[in-house]
Amino acid sequence: MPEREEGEWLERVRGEYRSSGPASDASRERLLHRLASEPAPARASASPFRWLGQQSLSVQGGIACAALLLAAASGIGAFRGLDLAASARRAALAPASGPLAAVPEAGTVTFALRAPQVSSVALVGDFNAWDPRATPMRRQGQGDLWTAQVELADGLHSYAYVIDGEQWQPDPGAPLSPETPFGLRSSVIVVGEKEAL
Amino acid sequence: MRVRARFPLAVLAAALLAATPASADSASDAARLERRLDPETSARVMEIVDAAREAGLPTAPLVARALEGASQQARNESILVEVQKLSAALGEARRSLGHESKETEIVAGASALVAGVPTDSLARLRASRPAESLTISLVVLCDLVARGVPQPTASGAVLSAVRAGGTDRDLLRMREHVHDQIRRGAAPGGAAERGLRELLGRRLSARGPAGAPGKERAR
Repeated sequence: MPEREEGEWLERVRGEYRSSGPASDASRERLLHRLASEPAPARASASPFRWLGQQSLSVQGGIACAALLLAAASGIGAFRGLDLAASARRAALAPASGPLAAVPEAGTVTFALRAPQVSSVALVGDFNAWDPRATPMRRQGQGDLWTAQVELADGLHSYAYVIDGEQWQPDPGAPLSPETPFGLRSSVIVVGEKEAL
Repeated sequence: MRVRARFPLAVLAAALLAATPASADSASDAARLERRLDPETSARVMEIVDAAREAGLPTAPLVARALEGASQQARNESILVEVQKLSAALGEARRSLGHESKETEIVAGASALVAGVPTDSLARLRASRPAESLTISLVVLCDLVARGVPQPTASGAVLSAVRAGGTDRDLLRMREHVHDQIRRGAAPGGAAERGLRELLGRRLSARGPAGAPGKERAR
C-alpha cells in the first residue's frame, strides 16, 4: 500500500478515537466495511530469531497439551481456571505460544515459564506481596519448564518472574502493565471476567 | 431516662460496627507495609492509602505498588511518588469511567492512565460500552501502549474494535495478533492497524452476507 494511503487509513482510525458518542448499528456497519475493505499496510521487517529466548507457556493456549500431561503425570486433578477446551481451540489458532491474559473464575491458577539454562525461577505478584521467596517455581523434570500454582481472587493481578534471584522479567506472552520509575516491567492477568473466555 | 441513656450507646455501637472493617483493613495494610518498608515511608504510604479508602477508591493496588517498589529496591521517595500517582489515577479513572464502574475496571483504567492514555479515551470507551465490563478492553489498551503502539493509534484501535461490537475474546485475540507481529519485527503502529483490520474482517465474515449493510455505502 502506498505510504499516502496508509497514512490516510491510520488517520481514519485515529479519527474514530477523536469522534464522540456511542456507536449506532448503522455507524458500526459503516466502520466495519470502511476499514475492513481497505488493504492492510504492508510493512514488516521480521527478524527470524526474535522468538528465541525465554518463552511463556502460561496455562492458556499453547501449553494446553503440556498442561494436560503435567496434570496427568503429577496427579493434579484439576487446574481451576484452565479452560482446556478453550485452550485447545486457542492453541489451534495461535500455536506459537499461549498467553495467559484472563481466567474465568477465582481459584488455583498455574503459571508456567519456559526458561532454559537458569537455576531458579520465582513468581512474584500482588498476590504474594511481591516477595521473591514466597512462590518459588518448580522445574518439571530436567527440562526448561518451570511452573507454580497460586490461589487468585477475582480482580486484576500484576505479576512477574524473578530469574536466578535477580533478573526481574514480565511474562513474555501476557499483557504488560505500564512502566514505572521502579524500572522493571510486570504483567497483568484478569480473573473473573467470564465473558472473556 | 433509660431511652436517653441507650441512644448514645446505640449510636456508638453502630459507629464502631461501621468503622471496624475499614480499621481492620487499614491495620492489615499497615502491618504488610511495615514488614517491608521503613517506619516513616510506611506511615506516609498509609496516609495515601487511608485517604483513598475514605474516598471509596480501591486500596489494594496502592499497597501492592508500594510492596512492588520495595521488592525492586526502589528509593523510598520513588515509592511514595508512584503510590501517589496511582492513587490520583484511580480517582481519575473512576471519574472517567463512572462511579458505577467495577473495581477491576477502575484499576485497569488507572493503569491505562499511568501508561499515558488520556481520560477522554476512557470516557469514550465507557460511552461505547455502557453496560458491559471494560476491564479487558482497558488491559488491551494499556498493553498496546506499553508495547510501543502510539497512544492515539492504540486508543483508536481499541475504540474502533469496541464500537464495531468486538467482544473481549476478540480484543484479546487482537492483542495476541499485535504482540506476535511486533515480536516478528513489525512496527508497533502498523501491527495495531493490522490487528484491528483482522478483527474487523473476522467480525464481518462471521456475520456473513445476510448481516452486511447492503444499502449503505462504505464511505
